[in-house]
This record gives sequence, structure tokens and C-alpha cells, in this order.
Amino acid sequence: MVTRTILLLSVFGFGSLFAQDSRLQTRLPADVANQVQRLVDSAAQHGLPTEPLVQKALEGQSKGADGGRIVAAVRTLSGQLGEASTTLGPGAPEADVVAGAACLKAGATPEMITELRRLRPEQSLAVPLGVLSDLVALGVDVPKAWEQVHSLAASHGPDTEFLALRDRVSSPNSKPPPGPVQPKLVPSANPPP
Amino acid sequence: MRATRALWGAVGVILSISRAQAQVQASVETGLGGMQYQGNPGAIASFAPSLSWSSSFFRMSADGAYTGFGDEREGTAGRAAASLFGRLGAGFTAEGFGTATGQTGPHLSQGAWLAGARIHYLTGVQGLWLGGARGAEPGSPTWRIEAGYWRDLGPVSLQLQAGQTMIQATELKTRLGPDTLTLDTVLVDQSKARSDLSAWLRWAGGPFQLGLGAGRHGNIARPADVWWESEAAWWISPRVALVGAAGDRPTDLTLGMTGGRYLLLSIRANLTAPRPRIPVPAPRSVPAGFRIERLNSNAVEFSLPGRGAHLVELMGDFTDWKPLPLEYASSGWWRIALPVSDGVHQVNVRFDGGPWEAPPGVTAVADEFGGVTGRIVVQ
Repeated sequence: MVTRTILLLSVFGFGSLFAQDSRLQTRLPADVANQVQRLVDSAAQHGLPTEPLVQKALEGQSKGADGGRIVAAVRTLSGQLGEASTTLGPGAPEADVVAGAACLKAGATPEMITELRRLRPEQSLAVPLGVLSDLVALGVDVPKAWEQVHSLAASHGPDTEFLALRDRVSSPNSKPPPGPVQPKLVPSANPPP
Repeated sequence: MRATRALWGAVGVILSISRAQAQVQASVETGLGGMQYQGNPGAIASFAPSLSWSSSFFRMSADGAYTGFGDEREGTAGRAAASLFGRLGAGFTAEGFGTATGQTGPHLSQGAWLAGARIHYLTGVQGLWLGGARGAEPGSPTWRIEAGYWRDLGPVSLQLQAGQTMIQATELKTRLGPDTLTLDTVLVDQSKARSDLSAWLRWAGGPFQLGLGAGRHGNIARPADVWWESEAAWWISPRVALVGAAGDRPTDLTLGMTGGRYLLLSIRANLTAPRPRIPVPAPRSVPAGFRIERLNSNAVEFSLPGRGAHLVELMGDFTDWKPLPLEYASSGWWRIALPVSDGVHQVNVRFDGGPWEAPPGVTAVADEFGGVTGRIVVQ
């Protein structure tokens, strides 16, 4: 069986195990498409999500980037996906791996991702990791952003709370600012004579 | 008549504009407890409804309380507040506000109002405000100046505030005239000032919330009173909490309110959406300005203001980064419905063929191609 597999690989070439992505072939110059395809195939071999790589190449094409820049961007993302996948462990959902890659790119450490995994063993990490990346993108330094995200994760906050945290930082003026706090009405307003 | 019609018209405009993004919270609290005033203990029963309604530029709140005392006396109190906000840029927001309070008790019924303006300076997780207002308390016009500071520290929030209320009061007094043989009636200025200073700390973790408040207020005529109050809530379900509150209220001679210590145990029912687990603004998947609405399990509608453009396009990882034109909806807004899965997505928009940018209000992240993308969460 092993012999047959090796024989097939040698006859058809390694790349033929993976389908050529027609989007790459139709939207990118042939040489760029081929280089990206090889990176995509390699990622697939390692069990990494491949769609983000294809999307990164298509994004570059739509934004008018040259071939070298597109291939470099895809290669960088592939490396980040690999690191995130290793950190999250086998069987991690694709969305978590993608969000983890973005987080590492933003400056988070693998230990942070591991800690989030520990705090939310059964839940997706996509939103907490995405919010961590966003906070950093918004100018919050990594330790402070991590402190906020970690605090929410430790209190088992749902995804909506992470999004609320991001919204507070990203658009502080989108909600009315708090006004003066009033004392509790019940006991103070009805005094016996 | 015309003014009344204009007022209702303005209210109607505010209601219609803010309906789409308004957050409504309503709750009712029922409890039993005890209160000790001037050394006399007594039982109290309370019923307190509360309603708040806010959008990006409008906030209204109202709460009331009925308290029955053990000796069959009873009292009611209510207060309402409304504010309109306008962004001034550079982190500054202007606020016009009005508040009214009223109470009836065994021996008195009275009300007070205040209307004025505040200027807020906001920097994300903290803010500062300064304000001034004109109003009236029983029998006397008032002026007030105030300042405050708040800061969010994740599950903990802190607020400090201080104010000074000037109460204008005059009194007719009779005294001997300059010749010491006749009596003169003169108007004597009895104006006084009342200062207040308070600090509030709130914490939320899991199903628990804690709140602590303390302050002092007094007037020139007598020593300041110190007060405190505390509250702990345990949300046993998304809509029901057990609440314990205790505090010490000072006597307020100006409003004729007797102070006292109290302890109250109650049940709070949330009548609207399940409460947020931390005291932060209601969560939104995207900020105002770029709206995402899931139409069904497959399709999501994106809409955004078009800035007067004739062509608005959108692309993202859910369009294979192919630019798609939005269609003009109304009132300067453009929209498009697309099949999008739940999760985190990258998106760009552009106006009249200009540079690709993050949608308005969405976090912009540098891409690898010298530009930016917006990262959104679709739920």
C-alpha cells in the first residue's frame, strides 16, 4: 500500500494530490498563481487552513499588488498559520487558527493563545483572539490589551462582551458618555417624618 | 400652542431617528427591608420600576419607587432625566440635559428640576466632564456647577464627581429703621451653597455585580454629612437577580428628607434583553456608521453612509475580494446583501473609485499591500 502511494506520488507529482484553485489561475499571472498554489499545497499537507492563503492572494490582486508582494504576503501568512496551529494544538477549528495567526502578527505571544485555550477549552477563540488583535491595532499596547482580554476570558464572558470591549475602545464617542451617578432612590426618597 | 407642537415634533424626530439603534433597558425591583432613622427602626417594603433608553446621541431614563413603612405610612418618589449629545471632535462631546425629581410623603410633596449643559472629554476607557445648570428646588431657584471623571478598568469601573449648588433665597424681615423710631421691611439675602462630592466603584464578574458609593454633602450653614451605600446583585438567571443593598443616608434639610440607615433585600427582574455581564455599553458587533444585519441563515446585509458618493463598492474575503457595487437605499445610505458565514471577516469599501479603506467606524488593520482592511465579526 505504501509502495503504491509512493509510486503514485512519483508518477503524478506531489502537487497533483491537491486541486488547482481556479481562482488563482484566473486572477493571477501564471507564475504568481503557481507559486501561491505551491504554498497552498504545502499548507494543506501540514493540515493548515488554505482558504485564507487563497484569499490573501486574491486580496493582493484586487489591491494592485505586484506578484512578489503577493507571494511574500501568502508565505508570511502561511508561517503565521503554522505557528498558530502548533500553539492551539491538533484539531483546532480553522477560525481559531486564522484568528491566532492574526494575533501573533499583531504581537501577541504563543503563551497568550495557550492561556486563552486553557480558559475556554470548549469555546471558539476566534472572537477573543480577534478582539486582542483589534485592540493592538487600535493602539493599545499588547500587555494592556492582553490584561483586558484575559480578564474577560477568566470571568467566562461570552463573545458579546469581548466585542463590547473592542467597541468601547474603538469608538468611545459612539455611545453617550456616562453622566453623574444618582444614589439609590428607594430608601432615600421616602423618609418617614 | 406652536411651541408645544414644535416640542412634540422634535421628540418625534428624535424617536424616529434613534429607533434603529436605541438600546432599551427596563427592570422592576421588589423588596423588603428595614430602615432606622433618628434611632427609630422600622420595616419598609419597596417597589421600584426603572427604564432607560439610549442611542448614540440621546439618552433618557426614569425610575420611581413606592415605599410602604411598617406603620402604614407610605411615600412615592420618581426622577427622570434626558440628554442630547453632539460630537464636537478631538474627543469632545457636548451634552444638553434636563432632570426632574419629585416625591410625596406622609407630610410633604415637592419637586425639583435642573437643566443645563456638560462638556465631555473622552479617551476610550476614561472620560472627564464639566457642567453647569440652572434649576429650582422647593421655593428657591438654584445654580449648579459640577465636574466628574470616570474610568473603565475591565470588569471594574470607577467614577468620581463633585458639584456645588447655589441656592438663591430671600426673606422679608422687619427691623428698626435708621431713625430707630420706625420699622422697615427689607429683603434679606439668605442664599446658601451646598457642595457634594462622591465616588462610585462597580465590579462585575460572572453572575455577580457589586457597587459601592460614598460621598459627603453639606451646606454652609451646617457640617457636612457623609453617606454611603452598597449593593450586591446575584443574577440567578439572565432576567432575574437577587439584590441586597445597604447604606446610610444623611438628612437633607434643603429637600426636607430625613436620613437613616437602611437594609433592603429585593428581587430585580430585567424586562428587556438579558443584562450585560459587565457594566459596559451594550455590545455591538460593529460601531455605528457601518451596519451588519443577518437577514437569514445565509444572507447578510451591509449598509453604510455614502458620503455623497455616486458609487460605493465593497469587497472582502466573502466576495473573493471582488469589488461589488452597493445599491442606493435612501437618505444617503447604500446597501448590499451577500452570503456570508458567521465569524471574523476582512472587508474594504471605497467611494467613487477612491482608495480601499476600512468601513467607517470599523477597526482598520494594516494589510501587507500598503493599505488597510477592516476586521468585522458577523454573528
